[in-house]
Amino acid sequence: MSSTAIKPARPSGAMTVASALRLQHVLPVVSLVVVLSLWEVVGQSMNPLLFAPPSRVVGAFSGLIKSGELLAATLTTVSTLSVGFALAILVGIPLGVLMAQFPRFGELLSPYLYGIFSTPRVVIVPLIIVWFGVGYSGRLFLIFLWSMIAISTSTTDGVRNARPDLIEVARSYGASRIEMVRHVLLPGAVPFVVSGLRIGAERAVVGVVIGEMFLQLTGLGGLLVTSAKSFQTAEMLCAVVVIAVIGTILITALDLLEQQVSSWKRRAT
Amino acid sequence: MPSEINTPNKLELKNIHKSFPTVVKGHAGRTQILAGVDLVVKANEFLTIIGPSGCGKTTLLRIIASLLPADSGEVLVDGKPVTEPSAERAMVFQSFGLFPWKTVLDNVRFPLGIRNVPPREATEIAMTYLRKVGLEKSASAHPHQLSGGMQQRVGLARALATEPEVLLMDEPFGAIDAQTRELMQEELMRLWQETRNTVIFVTHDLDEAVLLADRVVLMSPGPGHVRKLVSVDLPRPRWGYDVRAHEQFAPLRAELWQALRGDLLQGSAAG
Repeated sequence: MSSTAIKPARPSGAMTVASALRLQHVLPVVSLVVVLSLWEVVGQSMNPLLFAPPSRVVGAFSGLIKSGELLAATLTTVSTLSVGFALAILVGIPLGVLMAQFPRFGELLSPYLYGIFSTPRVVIVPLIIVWFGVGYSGRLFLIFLWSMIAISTSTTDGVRNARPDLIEVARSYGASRIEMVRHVLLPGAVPFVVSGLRIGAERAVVGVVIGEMFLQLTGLGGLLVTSAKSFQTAEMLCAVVVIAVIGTILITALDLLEQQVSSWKRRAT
Repeated sequence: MPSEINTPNKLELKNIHKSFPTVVKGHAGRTQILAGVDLVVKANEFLTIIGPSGCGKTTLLRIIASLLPADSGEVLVDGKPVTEPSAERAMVFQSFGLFPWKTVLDNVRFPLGIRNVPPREATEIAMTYLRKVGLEKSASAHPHQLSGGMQQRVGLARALATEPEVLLMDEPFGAIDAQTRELMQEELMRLWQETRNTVIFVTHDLDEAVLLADRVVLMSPGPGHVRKLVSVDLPRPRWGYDVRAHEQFAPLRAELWQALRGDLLQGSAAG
């Protein structure tokens, strides 16, 4: 029996997997090249106030980089985003656990969380201006609250979904509530928490841009608005590209994290 | 050895009653599961409990583990009543109950951590018991990488590592294929010969009940109570020979089967 120690990984179809993987990387590149070329051709023939071809966007990029404007804007956006998202994680996960552990508390809180979460943030902006003013704390709040709600509700779902048989195992060995959370409930909820982090990250990226566009003209959102107002289409597109890249990096990182943490789940029951 | 007069009582069950709320045809009521279970288990005794499904044997085990409160009656360990779950009454579960996100080693270390054993020492103890069940090489594997039989060995190592006063086993080999099960039974006998814990082993397999036990408890359903106690004096150690082929095996099995069969027929007639 001990000879069947570890089930071997599936070796079948290694060739097809490899070629599919190559195709998977090649196709997006091909697509990008084609679309950018078309964009360039069409963009050249259009009114430069309305549309900028890639060549002009690249030019605008180097201009913005030389002036230091782009770096400053990116730093502002990224640092606000990081602080807001970090706060959302620090509050969201414990809050989610508490709501699952004390269902009455969860029931009392959930209408507000769901209500806020379903409200478009732009609508709240005037309120935030009244409460927080147009500064940093208001922008932080726009990131934090929505991201935190996504993380905490997901965490609650995950903890509630814990396997009752494993709870019983821990109980039978006399685990305390804290040990139960640490060894059984949270690890079991990890896939849920990570998907909450993903939704929360999306919310955070949108939140930081809304804050910079509608609350205080700063960062990449501010750059977007001021370029748009002066019809600098190429500069505007630069801001869009950087925001898109930030979002993509964050989401991809969380995808990788998800694959990492749930490796035990892949072949589990 | 169960006949030794001086052997102290390890576990006593006194008049255990348990019922569960049920809804029959829209009417809320209670179904009596256990009605007055009395049982004394000697120190170092290997006791098996057998009975038709629905006789409350798993419920009884969960009451002994304090995972479930009894409606009335007492559970005494070394003469003292117990009410809180503890690794002193370690349980081996039919569904293994291993944490999928922990390695084999960390699964075995888990109850030791709860008991505040220092990490280094916990690792040493856990490795000792993994070695005993022949899994020291799989220490860093995750449960899903192991076969069912191996997973249950981890479950066994985890329970034994706490050196429990009473080892509770709830149909531990029920989810394991028949041939592996025989090997596991043999291995359990070897381990038990070494550790000599007091064991309460619930099973629905008559052969298994006789094979392992010093005494077999036959429970009757409707509601559950101890119907028959049978001493098994087959020579130990029991792995050196084919126990099923021993001349005493068949009569013991037949005696239990007669009683069990009656209950089963009655149950199917009533149902």
